[in-house]
Amino acid sequence: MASTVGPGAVAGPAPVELSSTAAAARDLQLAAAIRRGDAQAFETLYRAYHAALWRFAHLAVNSSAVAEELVQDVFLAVWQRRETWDVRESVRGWLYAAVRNRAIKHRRHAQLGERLVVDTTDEVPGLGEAPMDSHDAVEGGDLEDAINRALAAIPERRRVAMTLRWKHALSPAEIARVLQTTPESVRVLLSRARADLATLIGYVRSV
Amino acid sequence: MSSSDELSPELFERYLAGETTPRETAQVRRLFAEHPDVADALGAYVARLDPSGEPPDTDASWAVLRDRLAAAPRRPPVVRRLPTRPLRWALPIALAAAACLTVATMVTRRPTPTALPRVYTTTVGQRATLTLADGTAITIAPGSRLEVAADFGRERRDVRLDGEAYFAVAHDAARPFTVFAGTVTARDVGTAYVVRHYTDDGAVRVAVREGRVDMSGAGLLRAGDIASRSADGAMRVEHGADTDAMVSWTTGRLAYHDTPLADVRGDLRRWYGIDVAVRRAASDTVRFTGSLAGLPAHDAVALLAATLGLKATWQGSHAVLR
Repeated sequence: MASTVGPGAVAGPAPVELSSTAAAARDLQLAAAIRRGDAQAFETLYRAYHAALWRFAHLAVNSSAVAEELVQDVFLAVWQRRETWDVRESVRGWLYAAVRNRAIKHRRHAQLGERLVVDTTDEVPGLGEAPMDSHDAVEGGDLEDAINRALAAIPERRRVAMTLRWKHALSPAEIARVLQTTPESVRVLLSRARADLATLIGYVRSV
Repeated sequence: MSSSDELSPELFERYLAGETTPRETAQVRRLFAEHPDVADALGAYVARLDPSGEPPDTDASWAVLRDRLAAAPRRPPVVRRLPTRPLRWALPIALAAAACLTVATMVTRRPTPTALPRVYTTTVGQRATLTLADGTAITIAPGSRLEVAADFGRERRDVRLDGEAYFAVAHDAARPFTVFAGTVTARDVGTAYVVRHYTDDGAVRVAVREGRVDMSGAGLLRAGDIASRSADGAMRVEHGADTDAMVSWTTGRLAYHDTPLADVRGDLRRWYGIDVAVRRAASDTVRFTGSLAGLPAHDAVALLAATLGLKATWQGSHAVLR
């Protein structure tokens, strides 16, 4: 794979308009305004999160149109029940969680994709993993295959956690809310993600 | 000059999460510059986590939502443009390479897919039933790995198997269903069949319960056919065979009919997590007929030993038959 990175080509993470805490505070103010029926605040919130939430929804449903519909449905529901919109701490966490819940419901009803049911009493949480290792290096051929293999093997919840952290800048607490689990479980997921990075780096350096 | 210790996954992970100090950020940038292969790989890995293409234009999207709101009995919101939150996924590492990548599927290379291959694996003692979008039901044996092609269901239906699985294939004449097991393919022609190919023994076995299967190197197999391709490539087809023993594992009952001992030992390892060594000349070619249905590990090994006229001694999860 040709390298397109040279000294000076790598910048830092894209600067955000507001720091995370400032954005959270702004969001809570918007939420309060929305509760009072402020349509402009509603539009501001929508414009702030539409693209990111669409991208997150797409991860679950694999369809541009369905993802768009899910995100709009979430905001439609927010507006229609605005007087009692009870969101605290993180509006962002609430929105992502709402999108995920709708996506899961949609997947179930639409019977899209695949369903795996494990038939055993000694169930291992997060069904099996196919880590990238030196065996794959010999069998799979090149780095491309190895990366895709590793990606394909990531369990869904871990993938969601990684995406939320690296692509959407959610905090572990927010990620826990989206996955409906504890921050401790999220830390476990992320430590596995770190292990995957280590394997990836090790693999790259071995070929 | 940096040592490989500096390529800390923990540091990179915090960098990806935007949690590095300015000093650490500079350090990461330097490391990327010094190790462009690592930067490329990380960039590709992260970029492909959530492949989705471009989101719909937010202005257009808002217009649609506004109309939907207007349809509800409330007054339409006032429209005024305000800055949006920049996208975070414009990550600076090796994006140009990631954008025009091809993704390896099992059959063809395609540009920027909308789906990734799905890999399902079972661990020791774990069985799973996978239902695919087309209605095909696959029962996966322990210690197995099944990969569903990224393009599954478009023009073909491909899966790759390392292990053992029972396929009840939903009929779709327009989209052939093919199991890739090592270098062997077993293509469904309206069927239910079991494929066994554990890479640790290199052999491939296909047993057909219903319908027909087109197997590379063996031709068209019918119900009651069992085709076995040994590790050295020799193919043997048995007709009118008892395929019940081949599929009883799908209900958790291990049954064997003239089965090489090596296969039985492999199953004991994958189903029970026990290692059985047999101290007897040419033991792996010995064939076993019998049922280990529902037996706990020790009893299963005892039965196996008795059938072979041997005695079993145990050390933890290791058994030796002599």
